[in-house]
Amino acid sequence: MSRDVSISAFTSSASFSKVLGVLLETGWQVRDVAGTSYLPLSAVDVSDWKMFSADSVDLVLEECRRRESVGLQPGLVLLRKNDDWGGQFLWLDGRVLVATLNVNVSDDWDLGRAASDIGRPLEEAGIALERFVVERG
Amino acid sequence: MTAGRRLVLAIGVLVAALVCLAAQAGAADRSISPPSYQETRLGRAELRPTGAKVKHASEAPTRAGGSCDRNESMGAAPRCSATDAHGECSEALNSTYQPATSRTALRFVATNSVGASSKGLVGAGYEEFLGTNLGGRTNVSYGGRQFEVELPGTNGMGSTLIEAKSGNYWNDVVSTPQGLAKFQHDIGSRTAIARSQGSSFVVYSNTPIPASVQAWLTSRGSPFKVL
Repeated sequence: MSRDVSISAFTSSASFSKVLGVLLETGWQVRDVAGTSYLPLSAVDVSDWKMFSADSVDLVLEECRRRESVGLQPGLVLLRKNDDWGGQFLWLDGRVLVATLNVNVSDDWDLGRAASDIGRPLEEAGIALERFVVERG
Repeated sequence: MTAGRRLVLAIGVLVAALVCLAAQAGAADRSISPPSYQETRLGRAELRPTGAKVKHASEAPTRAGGSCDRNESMGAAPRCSATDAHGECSEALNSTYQPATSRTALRFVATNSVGASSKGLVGAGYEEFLGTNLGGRTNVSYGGRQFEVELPGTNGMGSTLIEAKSGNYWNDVVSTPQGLAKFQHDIGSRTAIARSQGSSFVVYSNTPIPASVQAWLTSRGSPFKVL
């Protein structure tokens, strides 16, 4: 079993740009432990990540927006600015954010941090959450 | 006493001596009968030879057999921290086994433990099982991500990183679109990280992998194994 923490945030409707904008304003960064990691426009499916690339944040964001515009799922790795933990964020169907927090997340990692650092900022930004599920594994 | 009676008496003594020797040989055979193993409540294989007491290397050798205890939390029993590619307890054979005459019997037990007892294990228990029985180390980290088991490379090939799935995991994956998406995006990134390390990446499960997931893994060139 993985030590990862899985998050599913169900919104009524929230675009990738809006959700990401909120996260970037509340302590998240587009970066991985080395470089940037994301789903490029050419990815065959949501497993086809470009990991630890030297691509700029602007290029990553542009690729994500282009995926969304053609009906593909945008995905990228975000880390907390000061704490250096985070993981992969993926947008499904324009309303579901799924995240796998797998970077520097240990067994005793406080699940409440997911709610305080992801769920609450979204709600405070006016993005209604129908459900917010946090679980290990 | 006649010569005939002397002859009969001598034959009787000889037969009695042969019967006694045969009985001693039989006792020696029983003392090296194959050990058995049992499951611990922690879900890991605890290997103990039949009728033999666990001994540390510093103690007096047992008459026959010994033990290989792979469970570090089982009190004073010696721990096996090194296994070979077949899951055999190589360290124990060198340092904690008291082999006497039964090295073959001990190897029989260790080989039998491979793949024999993963049923019902979940989470860390299954990871420990894989690490012990496949001869790998558990909880290694690459690219900031934790991998559950790493098997050493052989013949110039890189290591193998393992993702272990157990319990009801597959039900969660196939029951919702987001479950499948999480599985796929996580497997994809781990595969990429493994390749960047020169390693291969394999999904292990102790429960049947749904056909749809198998098809997807196959289409992505991702090996999987049920053990």
